[in-house]
Amino acid sequence: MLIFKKYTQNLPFAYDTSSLFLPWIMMLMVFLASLTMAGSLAVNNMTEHWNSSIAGSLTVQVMPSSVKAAGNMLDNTMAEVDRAVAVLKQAKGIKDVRVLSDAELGKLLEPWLGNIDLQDDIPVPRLIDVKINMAENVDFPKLKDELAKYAPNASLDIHRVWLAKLMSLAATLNFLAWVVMMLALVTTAVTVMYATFTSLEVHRPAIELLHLIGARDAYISLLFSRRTLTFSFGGALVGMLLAIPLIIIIGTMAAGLEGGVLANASLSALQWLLIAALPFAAAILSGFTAFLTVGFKLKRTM
Amino acid sequence: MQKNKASLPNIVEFEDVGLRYGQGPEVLKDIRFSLAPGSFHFLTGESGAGKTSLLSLMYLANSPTRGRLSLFDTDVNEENRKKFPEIRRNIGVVFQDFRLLDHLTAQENVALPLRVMGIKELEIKRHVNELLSWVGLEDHINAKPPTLAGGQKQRVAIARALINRPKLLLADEPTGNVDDRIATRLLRLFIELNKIGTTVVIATHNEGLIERFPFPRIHLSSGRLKILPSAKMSGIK
Ligand SMILES: Nc1ncnc2c1ncn2[C@@H]1O[C@H](COP(=O)(O)OP(=O)(O)OP(=O)(O)O)[C@@H](O)[C@H]1O
Ligand SMILES: [Mg+2]
Repeated sequence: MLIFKKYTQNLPFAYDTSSLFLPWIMMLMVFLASLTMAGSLAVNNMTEHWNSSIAGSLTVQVMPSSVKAAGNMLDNTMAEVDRAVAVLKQAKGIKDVRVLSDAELGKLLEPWLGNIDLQDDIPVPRLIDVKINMAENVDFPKLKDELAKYAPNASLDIHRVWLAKLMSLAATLNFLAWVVMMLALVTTAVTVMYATFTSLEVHRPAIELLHLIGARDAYISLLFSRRTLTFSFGGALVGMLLAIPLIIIIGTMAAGLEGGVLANASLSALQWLLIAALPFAAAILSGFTAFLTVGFKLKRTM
Repeated sequence: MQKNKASLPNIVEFEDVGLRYGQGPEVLKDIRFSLAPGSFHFLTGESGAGKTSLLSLMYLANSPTRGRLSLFDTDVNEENRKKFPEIRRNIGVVFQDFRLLDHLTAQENVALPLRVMGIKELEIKRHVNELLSWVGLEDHINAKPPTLAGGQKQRVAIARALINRPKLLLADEPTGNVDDRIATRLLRLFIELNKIGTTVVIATHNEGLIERFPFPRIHLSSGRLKILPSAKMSGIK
């Protein structure tokens, strides 16, 4: 803060209302931007976590077909497995479908059933290992419908379907976050522009004097941009500081939610740093906007 | 040496210059004169004759509506606009209405022309305080203009005009608010500056002052200019 003090003292411009309201706008904008950014980063963290949990293989389980059905139960079950495989193979975004062999199944069941022969009439669910292509979006609801139609005893992991839905919601939220950030950015720039126009008008006599004693336009632009930068930074810093406890509270509440779905939302040190950089970015943005505005205006009218 | 003093370019040259404000009448007409380096002139004429207007052309606050004006051998026109700050840095101006910045101290006001040129703060302070003592304001260095008397403000304005040792000094009624003793003292300050090469033009109504010093007069009357010889009455007093 000291470095800013040095530049604001002895400024040839007196204080004016435009310099008073600017910090408030900056505070609000950075407050909003901090919350939005924290939200977006948290959502990103969650989706990343979900992504890795969905990644790789997905398992479809085919329950033994009902005893009431005609014919051999094992044959019926295996026929349903084949139908399920057919459905899975033609679905979009699925890379590989493989039915687990008897040996593999036996291994999986060994802890519970001991060494058994799966060809016997013990009703054991059959498993299909499905590899997903992460680049494509698997239409889980559609897949679920088709499975229900052709292989009613096959079940898709509901949890993952639900996660996929959440992920598309997260993507939407992320997009909204960017829209909000962009709006905050544009609002900041436009606010600074208008504040600068007003300020230029208020300080016209001082500016004229500075010109008459030999100041170049760039000197005046620099004075304005430093002043704007300082005022903006003050407001922006407060905005961020107000947002931080709120982010922490919301974060803690989310972490306490049942199911632990939101447990992976907490921000990393780097992400906190990104939020801490917001007031600096906002101050630099407004200083730069003021510089350009003054340059533009002086060239046009003075 | 081919060049002698007479062949040095003039500091200021007016050629058939006219000035009008907006759509108003011409307040300066057919102005034709030049100022040689190191010259000293009074600028006289009754109120409304156009003294401030003439000076404003020279400190580049207004531009001629016709004719040609050149300062330091540079034509004052749109193409040379980029050179204006450089030209202005060689001109010291005492404005009739002072134009001090009210929220700055006397010291900061006087320092402004140096700041604008990017001179180091440390050097600035010493220079400024020295000059403020010279004009008798050593006790008001940190005073702000609203707390100063008219004559004190005027002297701050004078100090600001002199701070960067201008090649051309334009003073608009610089002794209008001070008593004769201080007026004489200030004029001696201008004369000192003139002795080291500064070209000086002083607009004034002060007949006493004009009669006490042997400088030619630029006289304005209804927008027209005449150069008159010194009004100093030799032999009297
Ligand atoms: N900014 C302006 N806009 C319009 N008219 C102006 C402006 N400044 C001066 N004038 C007019 O130009 C004429 C000359 O004014 P100027 O200020 O040059 O006179 P002056 O000789 O300095 O008078 P004084 O001795 O009272 O200071 C006056 O008629 C005045 O009304
Ligand atoms: Mg005048």
